[in-house]
Formats: sequence, structure tokens, C-alpha cells
Amino acid sequence: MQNILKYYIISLLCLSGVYNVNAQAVKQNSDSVFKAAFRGLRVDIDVVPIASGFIYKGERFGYEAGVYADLKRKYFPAIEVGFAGADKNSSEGVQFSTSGIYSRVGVDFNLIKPKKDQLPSTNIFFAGARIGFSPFSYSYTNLMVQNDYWGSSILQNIEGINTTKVWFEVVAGMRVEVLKNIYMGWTVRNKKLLGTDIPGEFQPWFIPGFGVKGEGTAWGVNYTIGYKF
Amino acid sequence: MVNCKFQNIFFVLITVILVGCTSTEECREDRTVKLKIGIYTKSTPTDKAFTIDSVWVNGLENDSFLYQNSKTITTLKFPLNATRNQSDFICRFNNITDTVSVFYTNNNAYFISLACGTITAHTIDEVISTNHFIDSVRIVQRLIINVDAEHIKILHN
Repeated sequence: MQNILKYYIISLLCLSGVYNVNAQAVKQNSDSVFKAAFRGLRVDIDVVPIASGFIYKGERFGYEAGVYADLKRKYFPAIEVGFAGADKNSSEGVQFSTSGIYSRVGVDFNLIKPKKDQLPSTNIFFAGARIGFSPFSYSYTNLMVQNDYWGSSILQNIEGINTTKVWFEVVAGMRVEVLKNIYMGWTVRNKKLLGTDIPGEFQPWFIPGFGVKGEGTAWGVNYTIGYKF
Repeated sequence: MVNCKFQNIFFVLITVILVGCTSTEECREDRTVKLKIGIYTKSTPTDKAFTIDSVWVNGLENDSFLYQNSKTITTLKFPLNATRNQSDFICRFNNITDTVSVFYTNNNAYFISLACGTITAHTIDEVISTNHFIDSVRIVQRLIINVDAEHIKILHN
């Protein structure tokens, strides 16, 4: 019985040793594959809000930055974060206000194929996709309902409505290395809000990161300056 | 360098297009919320609207007429009082007078859009009437919003 137990323990130790050696080999292998694929991190800052803040006369504002991993100059996993808001008056005096953070995650694919036996260019022309979400709150004030026949009027303020909106984006754009490790470029986005509205419920006029809600689709553009580490 | 120039032109074009596409916030929707009544004969309550030669209607305790000797009427539209849960209407059909009382629940915050604001939506609880010209009243659609839909049927003998 003791012999069997001894044999069993020795077998286990041997097996775990083999497994350990295999696991280390796999880890080292995947590390080296990742190191070979990883070509750096690019940090972009969007400068469009500076211009759009001026165009919209402070009606809307936003700040946005993104981090993009460069894998083989082919795939660019992306995380974008921002803070945006709006203060808007309708022609009938209804006031809307909101502000909040937002984030998008997704990936870009470089559409420029390198020539045979050549390194891929540092400039990229890409297409990609994102999932965006924003938890935020918004208010409508000075809502007036009047009834001429009965002579009634009701004034309401609906404040601090909390919600989270999620949307999907298809993106395309380019980045050009204008100086060593300094990139400039643009991204155009087509956004589609996910989920359905319930008739009569207060819906936000503006969603941070998405823009004006409208019928649930929106276009966006970024013009970025970035640095690659 | 050429790339940069192309980029800048493209960027300006896109910005102009996107800014040009932004909407001005003007309400383009009808915000009228009225109880819509179809008038039918008792024998054909589903398909044939009944035409009345002369209609006079005013709200109870309101001297202003909603209909004043109106001719060839097949439907009536009544505004409900959003500050109360009951509105009463004095209706004179071809010189025969009835009173229609509508009981309802108000939702003063039925949102349309930033441009249009809110409306008061009503949910009909009950409709009763006197029975001189009117035989009976049927509720077809309880929710009254800014959509042109028939809410109740008045059946005439």
C-alpha cells in the first residue's frame, strides 16, 4: 500500500513538472508573439470640440482622447473616453441641459496592405467599429402646456433624469506620421443608437459622445493630434 | 505634405457638411390633443358614419362654442380640461340636446421633443351621456394623445 502511495505521489510530481514546463513554454511563446506583434501605443487628442464649441456658441461642448494599441500595424484595439454636454433652448423657450462622461471600445483595421517584402507604412487608412456608452443625467425646464378652450396652463420642470445610452459606430479615417512619432488625422463616424424609445417618455436631445439624438442615428468627426509611445 | 493638404480640405468639407446638417429646433408636429368622437347609427355601428345636419357644442360652464350650427358633421373633436378629471359637454344634435360627460386620468408630462415640449395625454376611464338623441356611447381607444384617432363612438337611434 505504501509503495502504491509513493508511486502515485511521484507520478503526480512528475506530471505537474511536465505541465509546468509546458505552461512556461506556452507563456514564453505567447509573450514573444505579443512582443513581436505589439508596435506601440498611440494617444490621440481630439481638437474638433475646440472648433465646434466656437461654431455652436457654447451650446455644446466636449473633450475627447483615445488610446490605440498598434498590433502589426494591422489591428488597432481602441479605447476612447470623453466628457461632453449641451445647453439648448428651443424656439418655444423649452430648455435642455446635460453633461456626462462617455467611453467607446472597439478596433480599427488598417486597409493599406504593405508591398511584398516591405515593412507596413506608419501611415494608416483604416475602418473599424465601436461600442459606445454614456451614463449621464439631463433636465428639461420651462415646459408649458396650454389649453386655450379651458384657459388652463401647466408649467413643468423635469430635472435630474438619469439614464445610460449605448450605441454602435462604424468608423473610417486616416493617421499620418507628420513628425517622428507625432500623428495627425481624422475619423468619420456613423452612429446608431441601440434600444427603443417608449412613446411619451422624456428622451434626451443630446447624448454625450453620441451627439444630437434625433431619430437615433448621427454622424461625427474627429480631427486628432497624437503621439506614439 | 500632399497628404496633409488633402486631409485639411477633407476635414473642412466634412465639418461644413455636418454643421450644415444640424437641425433648427422648430416644432413640426401637431400638438393638439382632442377627444375624437365618431357618430354612427345604432344599426350600423361599425362601418357607416352618420351625418348630422346641425350641431351645437359647448363645454359645461364655458360659454364659448366648439361647434356652432355646424353642418354635415360625422365626427366631433372635444378638448379635455387638463386641470380636472372630468369634462362635460352640452351637445345639440338637430335641436335635440344631450350632455356628454367624460371621466379621465391626465398625464401632463407626455414628452414629444425638445422643439415641441410636452402635451397632456388623457386616458379615458368612463364616458356617460343622457339619451335623447344619443342611444349609447362606446369607448374605442382609451389613450388620447396628439394622434388623429377615433376614441369613442356615439350611436344614434
